[in-house]
Amino acid sequence: MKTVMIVDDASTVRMFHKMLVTSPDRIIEEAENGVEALEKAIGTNVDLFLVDVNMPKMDGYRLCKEIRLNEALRGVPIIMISTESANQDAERAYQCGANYYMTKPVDADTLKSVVSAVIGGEANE
Amino acid sequence: MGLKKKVEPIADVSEDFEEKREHPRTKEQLISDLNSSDSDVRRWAVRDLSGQKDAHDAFIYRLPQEDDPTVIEALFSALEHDMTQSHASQVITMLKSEHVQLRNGAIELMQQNPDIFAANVNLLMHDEDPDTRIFCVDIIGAVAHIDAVNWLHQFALNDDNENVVGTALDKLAEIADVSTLDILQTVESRFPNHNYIQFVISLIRNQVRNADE
Amino acid sequence: MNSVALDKIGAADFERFRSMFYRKTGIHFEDSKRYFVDKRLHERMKATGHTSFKGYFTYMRFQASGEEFQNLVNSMTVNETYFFREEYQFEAMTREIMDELDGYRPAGEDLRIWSVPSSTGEEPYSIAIYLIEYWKGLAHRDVELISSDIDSNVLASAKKGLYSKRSVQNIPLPLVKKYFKEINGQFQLSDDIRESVSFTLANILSANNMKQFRHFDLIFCRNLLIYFDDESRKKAAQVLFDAMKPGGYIFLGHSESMSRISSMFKVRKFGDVIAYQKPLTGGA
Repeated sequence: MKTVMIVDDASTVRMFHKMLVTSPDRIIEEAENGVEALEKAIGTNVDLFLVDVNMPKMDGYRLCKEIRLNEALRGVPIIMISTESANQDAERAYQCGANYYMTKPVDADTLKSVVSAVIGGEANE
Repeated sequence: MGLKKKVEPIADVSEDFEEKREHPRTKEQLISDLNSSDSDVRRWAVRDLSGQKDAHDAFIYRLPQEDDPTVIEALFSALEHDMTQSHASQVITMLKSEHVQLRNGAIELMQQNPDIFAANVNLLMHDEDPDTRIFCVDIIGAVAHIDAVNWLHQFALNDDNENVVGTALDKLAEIADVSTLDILQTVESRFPNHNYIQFVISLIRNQVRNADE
Repeated sequence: MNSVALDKIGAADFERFRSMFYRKTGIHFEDSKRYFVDKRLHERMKATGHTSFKGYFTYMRFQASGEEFQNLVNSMTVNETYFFREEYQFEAMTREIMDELDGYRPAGEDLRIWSVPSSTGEEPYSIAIYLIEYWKGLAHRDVELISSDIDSNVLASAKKGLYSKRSVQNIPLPLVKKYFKEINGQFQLSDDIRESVSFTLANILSANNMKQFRHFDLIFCRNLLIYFDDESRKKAAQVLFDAMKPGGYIFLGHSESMSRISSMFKVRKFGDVIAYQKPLTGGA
């Protein structure tokens, strides 16, 4: 089983992304912001993070940095998702440790294929 | 070694506790400490200035230059009291900051001051930057103001940006009522091929229709 | 006799409510908790004169003071105090955290622990017993234990150290025998343990009040913040942060989280146990 953690303060976005990537061999975890994501992720197995940029308390950039500082989590791939489309924001995401950067609205097929490429398996159709 | 025994009863804490300092810190010194290179000193300056009426301007001035998360939180915490419209205008400009923690702090302050926010909502609703409009919707999503649903309807019906509309719909998922059903068809037709928007509209329809009356 | 029928809460309404409650508190109600949640929602609907859930939800969601939401949260949280409550935190304390703190401080410097609210003393005394029984570092390091509450009656009771059978039932029998004397069905805590905790009256939300509370290595602040509104909770987080030494730790209650309060603390985990750490160097 692979674990995907979806971090976004918008509950319907979490639902939507969960719907896109869910499959029988994947566990989907959710968190509302960066602090909650760390509370749930540290000490557990996570194979992929989907991280929104704009979240209360701890934003996506900061969460990325914290993940990369954590010994056990530092190698976990991170897909950063943002409404901001300027190139410098992608740069910033990569500097914080994200592996991929997508802008909202996320193209469903792109998200599915990137997730599958990273953790294997395929989302339910 | 071990657990220390109480040597004498600790005096009960008094409301008027005066810290004994060798050199009492003046307000001027505290404000100057806001620019110290040591983040601990900066944070203590904020904490010791908190509650003083005219320190707000100093806090607002300091915020855009501050990068330490613990100092930023102390600054916003200090601003929570006695927020005026003039302060609010300056705080609102932070919604455009590159620094996410500043934006978040501004959003939270507005969420906690519904009437002041209401006086500014129209301005924000028509801001030319779609991200600023999204942050406005974020505020609406948590603010306790009875016009919240109407504001969200306005965004959903009139905003051109799909992400702004998407955010408004997300917030409506929590607080939509029967009047929301009236607008959904229009919103749907504005963004016919948008997967997420169609998804949330469908969700809202189900929720409102299945809600008890 | 009026007995107004309250609307049954439908699945869609429960979903919306659950989502909103999770957003605000971080607490997620499993489907299996429907009965528990519905009962309390109905209680609050009745208390506020609402027969429809929709009416209650709107009232609660848009109330500027947030008072009804707080009433609702209070009704959802069961708060019973007893010895060794949420014992896994005491275990994390003696198994790992005390050693780590011990490593940060120079020889001769006391480690200071603060338990707030003290309530009737079960928590600070549990800490004392746990340290004596399970932390070997006590042999070379002094520990000061301070506990505070806003209620002087409760403090007086804590100082007495007399407890019911129910309060001590989580303590292994050998330890009960070691630290308590049974008198007429009640349990009197030994003088040694009683004398190891300094009790003080304090209001965590009063800034001046709190300036005296400094330099703590470890704080237990369990099931207090959940009773505060958003603004007070954030204010309290500032006070708690101020009260800690760099590298110090804080435990919250099992259904509480810093994720809805503050990002100043570093999230640390000891097994499954979450503790929040004040950054070691200046700032984060």
